[in-house]
Amino acid sequence: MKRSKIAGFFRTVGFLLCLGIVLHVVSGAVRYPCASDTHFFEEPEDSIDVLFLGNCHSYSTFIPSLVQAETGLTGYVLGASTQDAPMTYYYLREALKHQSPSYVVLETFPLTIYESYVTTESIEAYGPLNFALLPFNLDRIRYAWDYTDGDGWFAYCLDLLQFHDRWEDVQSLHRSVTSQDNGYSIYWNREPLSDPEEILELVQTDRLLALDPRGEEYLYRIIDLVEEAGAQLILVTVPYTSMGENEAARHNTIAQIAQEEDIPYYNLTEQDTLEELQFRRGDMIDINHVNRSGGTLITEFLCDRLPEMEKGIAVS
Amino acid sequence: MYLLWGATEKKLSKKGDVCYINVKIVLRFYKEQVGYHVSLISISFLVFLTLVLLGYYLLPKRARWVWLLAVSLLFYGMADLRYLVFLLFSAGTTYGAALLMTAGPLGGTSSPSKGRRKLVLALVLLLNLGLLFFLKFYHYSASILEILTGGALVLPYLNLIMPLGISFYTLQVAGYCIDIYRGKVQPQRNPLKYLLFVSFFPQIIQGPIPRYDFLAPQLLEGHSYDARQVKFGLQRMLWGYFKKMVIADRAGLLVATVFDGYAYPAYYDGAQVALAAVLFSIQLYADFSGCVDIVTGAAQTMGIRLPQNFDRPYFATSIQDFWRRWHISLSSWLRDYVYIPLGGSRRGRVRQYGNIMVVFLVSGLWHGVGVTYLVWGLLHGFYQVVGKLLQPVRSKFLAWTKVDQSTAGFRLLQSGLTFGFVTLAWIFFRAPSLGTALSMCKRILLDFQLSSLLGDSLYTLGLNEKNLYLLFFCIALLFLVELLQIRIPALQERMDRQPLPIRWFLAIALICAVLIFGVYGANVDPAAFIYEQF
Repeated sequence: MKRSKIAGFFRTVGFLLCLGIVLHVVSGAVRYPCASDTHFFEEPEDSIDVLFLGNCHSYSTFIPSLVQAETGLTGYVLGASTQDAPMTYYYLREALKHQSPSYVVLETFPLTIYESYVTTESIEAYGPLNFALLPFNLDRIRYAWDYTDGDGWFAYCLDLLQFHDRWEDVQSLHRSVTSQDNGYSIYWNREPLSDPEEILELVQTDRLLALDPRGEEYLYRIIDLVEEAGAQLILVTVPYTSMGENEAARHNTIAQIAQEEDIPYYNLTEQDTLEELQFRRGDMIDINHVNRSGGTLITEFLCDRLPEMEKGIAVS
Repeated sequence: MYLLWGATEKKLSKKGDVCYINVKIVLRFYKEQVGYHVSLISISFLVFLTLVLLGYYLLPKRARWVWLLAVSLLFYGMADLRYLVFLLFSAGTTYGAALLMTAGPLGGTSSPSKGRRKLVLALVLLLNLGLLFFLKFYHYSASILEILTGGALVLPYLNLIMPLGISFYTLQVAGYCIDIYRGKVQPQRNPLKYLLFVSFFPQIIQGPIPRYDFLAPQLLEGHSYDARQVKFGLQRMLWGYFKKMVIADRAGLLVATVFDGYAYPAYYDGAQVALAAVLFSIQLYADFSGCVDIVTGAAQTMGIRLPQNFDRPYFATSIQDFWRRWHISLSSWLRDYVYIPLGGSRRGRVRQYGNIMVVFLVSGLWHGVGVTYLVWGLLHGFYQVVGKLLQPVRSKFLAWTKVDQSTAGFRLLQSGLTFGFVTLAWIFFRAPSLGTALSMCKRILLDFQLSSLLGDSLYTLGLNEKNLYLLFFCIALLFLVELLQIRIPALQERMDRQPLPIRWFLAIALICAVLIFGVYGANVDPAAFIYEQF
């Protein structure tokens, strides 16, 4: 009797092992392509000095190769389309398990995305896809719970469960997500009538407007996390012409929080800064994203300021 | 720092807040979970069942029924605490009535008079069935009344709730009381043990509707761990998930497109409507029997057998045969507690036909609110009556034509005809209104264009080409397995004797099929079980 129970136990373990292997293989087959486009987790441990976070605004703007050429610091843009504040936070948590950056540059658009030109439908469509960048672990479970408020959270934990219905088109490569494209692909909303040489003019205000609670909560979480990691957080807001007055007012709130928390914040939507940079309309690829020349301007602007930070520069 | 679910207030991660967060999380979890119906097709249910099994087999045998009662009440109460009030009402009244029907005056040992027993039975049935009827039909009746009186009589709107599974457990407790009245079973004197019979968690929401003498002894027994039973139970659950998630919910996409969009905005010809009707027959069967498989399998892992609820109904060769195979626990309940007390077939043909119509009228009323359910029920009664009336003619015709009734071809013809009649009735069951159902039937007869099922328009009905072919393949697989079950008795045991690699391959293939081809996940509203709403 005892022997049969032991045999039964080992049979069960063996079955679960086989099942696990098969599910792992199947999971890899249906995994969403944007996940395999991201090579962040293939980078050598502790090899990144400047970690850029944000969504399309960040990967359209920051040029790690330029950062390395100008400062000798290695960089990586860890971002995905329609990435919001919670997702940014969980990406950062995951990144810090593999890397010890000296600087974490957070492009602030994820903090205000819910009140921006990005539609809720678009966020709801792309948001779940971006789970694929996270490996299966406790953090992904936490994020799945946060994301769903506990309703159907498990479906977001495993790639197989989340992307299982891709069996229909598993052979064709979906490129609807622009993650890691660095913005040099086709975008939308060109402004054909604008003068490319004209200095970009954006809405300005002195007003303060609170961030949405979720954005504010996760901003503080990011601040704490970066502090615990011993890195320097830098907040940057890059230009986008569809910005409204309310968004400008929220940038003022971010500035206030940054001041309270003693964090450097570069709001590049302020008219003075745009003029200082000589940032032209022609530096935008569309109304919401900068192009290569705009990205060069902003990245160089940032490179000039990195050595001013209190933290030491990591030698790569 | 943020443990499992994170904190909602900013900067809670500062040191010293950890204990506070813990309590907060527990409270939040409790708050979120109460009002959360643990769906049978969720990870939560599998986790819940695992914990139940661990507790069940780790506890001493004599305490196992207490554990089952506790988890059953938790399972049910999590959906809505108010549901428990209704459950306790039903259990309490029927428990008391059972004792009153068997205890003598002043609690003495002598039997109470027949008149008293009858009075108690009538009262308790009135209370429980009346409550069910009231909850189901109050608002519907109010709106009908308002229409009939031209708005002169408007009954007040009541914020009523419809407790999950009330239609099922009300019949269960009513059957218990009638059995007590008939002296068929002895009353349970321990109220908690009786409450377990009423609330047993896998089957409380959608049945099957068990009899007291069948289920209660099993619940109270405290079964020893039997790896084979656990394995068979899990296999049955897996098959149920396949039926529900791969077949029923996929078919449901096409069915919903045609039935819900029939009146507006699209136009579907008769062939497309017929396809949707056939797929609804399949959907309903895969959905309900899939649920029963999950429920029965879950109970089997604890060594508890539930009554059989389906016996391959679409292989039935007549409507009467169909009702011996479909929702057996309800059919047998209606037979034993409605049809036979009305006189059954003992009081002449006319009375028998009347009784049949009454039984199916009750069945229609039980299933749902609305005239479509009534028509569905009456249609089935009509089928049966006409079938009985034509029986002599049919026999004479078959004798005259010398048709060999034992051939597979003849049985296939009978099954096909039966399926056709059943499907026709299901149109009324599924259609949003009687007018729509009649229009659909008319369109099938008058505007049947077979070509619409051969071209690309077939793929505009809610399922694309790949999904449609997958659905057809899975339906074929379902019926193939059922055919094998007929041909090979104790198929599951036979499969269990196959070499290990074959068994593992089949189990893993089925799990993968459910996980890959199941209709679930992000951006998909998990479809509730159809019978859950009844």
